[in-house]
Amino acid sequence: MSEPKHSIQIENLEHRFGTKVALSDINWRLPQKGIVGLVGPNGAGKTTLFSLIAGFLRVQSGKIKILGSSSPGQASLAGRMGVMPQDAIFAKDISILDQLLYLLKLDGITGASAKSRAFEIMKRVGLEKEIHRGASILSHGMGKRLGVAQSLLGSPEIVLLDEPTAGLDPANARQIREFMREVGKTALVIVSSHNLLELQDLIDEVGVIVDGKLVASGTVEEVTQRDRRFEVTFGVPVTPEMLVQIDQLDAVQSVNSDSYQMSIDLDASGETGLDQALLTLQQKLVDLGTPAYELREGASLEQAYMKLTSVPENTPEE
Amino acid sequence: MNKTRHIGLHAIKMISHSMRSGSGVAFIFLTILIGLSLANLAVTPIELELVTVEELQDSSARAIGVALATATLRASDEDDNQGTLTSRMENGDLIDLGMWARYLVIENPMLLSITVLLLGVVLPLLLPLGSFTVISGDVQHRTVRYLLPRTSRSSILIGRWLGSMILAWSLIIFLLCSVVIYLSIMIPSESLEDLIPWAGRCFLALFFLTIPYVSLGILCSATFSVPMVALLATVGSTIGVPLLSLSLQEAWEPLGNLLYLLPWGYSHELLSPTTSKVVEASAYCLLHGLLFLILALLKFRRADL
Repeated sequence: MSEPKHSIQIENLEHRFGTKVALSDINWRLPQKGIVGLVGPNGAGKTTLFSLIAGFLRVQSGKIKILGSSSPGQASLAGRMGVMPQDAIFAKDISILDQLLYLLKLDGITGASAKSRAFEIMKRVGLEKEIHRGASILSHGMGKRLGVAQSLLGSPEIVLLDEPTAGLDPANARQIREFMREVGKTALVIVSSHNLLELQDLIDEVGVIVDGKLVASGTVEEVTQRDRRFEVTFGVPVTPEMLVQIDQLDAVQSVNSDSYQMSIDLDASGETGLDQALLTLQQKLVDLGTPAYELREGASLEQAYMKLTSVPENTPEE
Repeated sequence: MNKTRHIGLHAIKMISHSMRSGSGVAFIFLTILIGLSLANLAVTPIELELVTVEELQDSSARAIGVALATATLRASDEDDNQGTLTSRMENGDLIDLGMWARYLVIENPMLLSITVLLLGVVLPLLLPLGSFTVISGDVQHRTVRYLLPRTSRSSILIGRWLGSMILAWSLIIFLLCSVVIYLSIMIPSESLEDLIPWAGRCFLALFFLTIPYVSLGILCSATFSVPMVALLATVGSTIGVPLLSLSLQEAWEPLGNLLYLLPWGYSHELLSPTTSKVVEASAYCLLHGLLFLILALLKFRRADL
């Protein structure tokens, strides 16, 4: 039997909690390896979808095929998936090492190799000093890192990480991202996060869920192709005239400024796409006598997300 | 093969977690304390010199005979004009039950018999304390989510059921050993030579009695995700079934058979002098346990965790 081209195939998936529709008509195919982001507002259905793929919830309607198995939770999938659930907690009164060894035994790894794997994985998430302690002494961030560590204990072919960097300090978040990149070379990593700038740099593909529906999916370029945001830094403060002149360009959808910086949303849907839009912009800046000191891509994914979720960008953050 | 290995791992983990977290130790301590208290209760009349051993044997035989007759012959109670159960026993009408009481109290070490009979009532209420969090605790804290990608739901449930059974059986061994030692110290006339073989027989009775009640605890633990609700459901049904059946029986006699929803209706047969009845009661215990385990499996396999 040939290996399936996709690790996960979701067809016509629907899920309800009582009368509330949590997911409806989800169709999504995920690759064999790489990092896939799952984004959406709170309550959109991300965790429900994670739970269905992981087999925590029973599939009510539709299909989820995973690694050739006809449904999640099959015995053939045991040990082939690593999951970091959002709200699960380790037993507080048993040492972390003992708990990891137990999970490794279930994965079929025992003895000295299990112990060395447990130490190695804890070192990767910066928790090697806590390994002999109970989980009760761990802070929220440490608990997150431990959750990531346990999901990568064996050699999973699919890893599900539900908000793995939420609540982590920048150094630890970076450490986890690097770890994900490494794992993503050989396995499929599905990660949900509200930090879209972080995801944009990390992921190969993205799925956007709004009100239980998958409203967009594909590579980051595919999802953000129409709307690309660029941050431009100048040597002089941005003036109202500059804003007006830039805003009048056909390729510019909107423009905002902050002191020496401009945030410009380009429409890259034309025949020549992004290149032409960028050329037009840079030519205009030269014409205005205010060349860009720095021009870099901004939060394109966030911009696409805001449009897909119909949230006005100037909505104040909570 | 992998499933069997996983079941073994879950069972060992369940036992070690229960011992290391202290809950298992507390459970064992509590049960032994209750077991010894019951033994002490049986010894007290002799210690206080209120009765002699012979008098106690005689009165115990009567009391146990009446209790057993009441439990097993309620249906024939309508012919009250023939006299009370006690007088019927004395008149030889209830020879089987008289023999039974004699077998338990006079032919075997009396105080151990009394203690085990009392344990047969108390143990069903104690066992849920050791099993109510087995599944529900991990479901409530979502710890079970770390296991689900690695092992099957049935392996988790069967493994933990097995762990609970082993813990309960070990507990009964501890309990009977301590009761036997206690009684042999308190009443030297009850020799160890008599006590030990009878304790083995009592162990077998309690061994089988444990199976349905631990399985009931696991069923409630798999059904209710809040441990306290699981505990209330287990203890509530254990106490509720006999109370309900006795009260409903007054209204309509066949409703008295509700007693057989749990082993209350036949558990006393586990100490019967008739081997065939012991085998029958043991088989019912196994079937009851199996039924509860299957229901727990069906529930747990379909549950949203």
